[in-house]
Amino acid sequence: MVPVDFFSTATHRDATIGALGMCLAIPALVISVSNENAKVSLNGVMVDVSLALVDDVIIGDYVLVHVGYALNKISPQEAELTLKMFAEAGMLTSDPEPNS
Amino acid sequence: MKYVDEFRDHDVARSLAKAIREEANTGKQYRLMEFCGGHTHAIFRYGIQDLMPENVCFIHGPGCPVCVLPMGRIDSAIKLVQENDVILCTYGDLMRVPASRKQSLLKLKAAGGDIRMVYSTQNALQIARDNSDRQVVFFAIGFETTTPPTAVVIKQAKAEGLKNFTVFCNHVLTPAALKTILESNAADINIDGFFGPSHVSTIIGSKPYEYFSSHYNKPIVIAGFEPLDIMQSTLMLLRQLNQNRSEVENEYSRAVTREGNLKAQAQVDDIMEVSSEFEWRGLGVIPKSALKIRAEYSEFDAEERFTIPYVHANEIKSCLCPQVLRGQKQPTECSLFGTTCTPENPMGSCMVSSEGACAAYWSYGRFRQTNQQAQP
Repeated sequence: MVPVDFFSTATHRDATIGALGMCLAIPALVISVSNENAKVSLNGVMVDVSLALVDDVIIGDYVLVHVGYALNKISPQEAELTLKMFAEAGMLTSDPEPNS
Repeated sequence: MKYVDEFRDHDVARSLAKAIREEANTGKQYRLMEFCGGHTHAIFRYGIQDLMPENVCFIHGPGCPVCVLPMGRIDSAIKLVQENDVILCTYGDLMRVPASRKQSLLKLKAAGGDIRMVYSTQNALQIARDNSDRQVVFFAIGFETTTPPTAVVIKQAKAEGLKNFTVFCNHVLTPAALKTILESNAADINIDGFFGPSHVSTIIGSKPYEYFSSHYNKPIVIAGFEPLDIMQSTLMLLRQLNQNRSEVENEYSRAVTREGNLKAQAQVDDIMEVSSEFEWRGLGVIPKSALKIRAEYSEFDAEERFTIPYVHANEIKSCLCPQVLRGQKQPTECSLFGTTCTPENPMGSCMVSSEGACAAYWSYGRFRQTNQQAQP
């Protein structure tokens, strides 16, 4: 795992800024929590994020990370329901799509 | 990666595409606007448009914060650096946006201006702590997603008693822009339904859209940013339109609730209030469409500490960014697109930002065009 500190101002991070975009937020797994900050794993990359905008974050939660802040927690139950909704929508069609 | 991979599943996408085709098999035209630049980007990156039947058309909206910032605001920031010798901190996306007289923040930096690219507002605050002999200004832009982090650092700066940190506040409001689009929903745009933004909605919730769906009779589905999210939301919009419903539905329920993030809302409300008007690129001056820093925190307002006159700047004549932002034109209809205007040498803001419609067309759409031309 590569430790990345998003609060440092190193310019090598410039590439990351462009890739994230202004309104994009990525799901990240919370690894540890200390006061207002958390260490999260962004697909294996360790990042420090601020928890100033969310309450009750615990280790093992998934949070949406945007410009160094956790915006919200992701609800595993709701994610499950949405995936189920996809599957149901697909089942309503008469036959599966042929490979093309 | 959890919450990403399963929302990009190939087989599910194929069955959803089939469901969409069956639902759209009515002979009607469906014109759906994705408000947010993140959706525009995803639609092109994953080739979603190619999976849609011909009568389902995506119209790209004004939800890219870099794109809707009028040129005059960048001019103001440039003047701030030139005349006041401040350290200007900004998100990377803004650096290459063209300003008047062929200027940009990047060019000013190359010419010696102290402009620092930051990833987080926390970076800007740290720069202020490290440079107590200099004035540090954070050039804040963005919709409701990006506003709470700005509010957090203003509060922190006050608590720490920082005297050299201010914010040039350009935060804008999604509902105000949506209202403008709906009011001016002219015949040449004619939008049937909307995709609600993903991460703006994690903050403001789904409630603010309810007025729009009922008052203007347009269905709105809040959609996640992954390809399956967008496809499922398309299906939900088509169903509403076929059943003559116009409701707010929430496809992105794993991160969006009706009320939104109340803690973030409270922090923004504490520091900022709605300003009387703000100029948007492409949409013009919209009343009550942006936020300004409250009088109690005026010592952290760059517009209070420095004189920052705002002068409206004229767009480059042949640049169609304003029409693209209103959904009236597709990027490929612009004569500059791909000729003089490319991401390496952008003429308009829609080509600069990674979320801009022109940048999305340039990065992914060119292959589509080539394919279409190749097929007789």
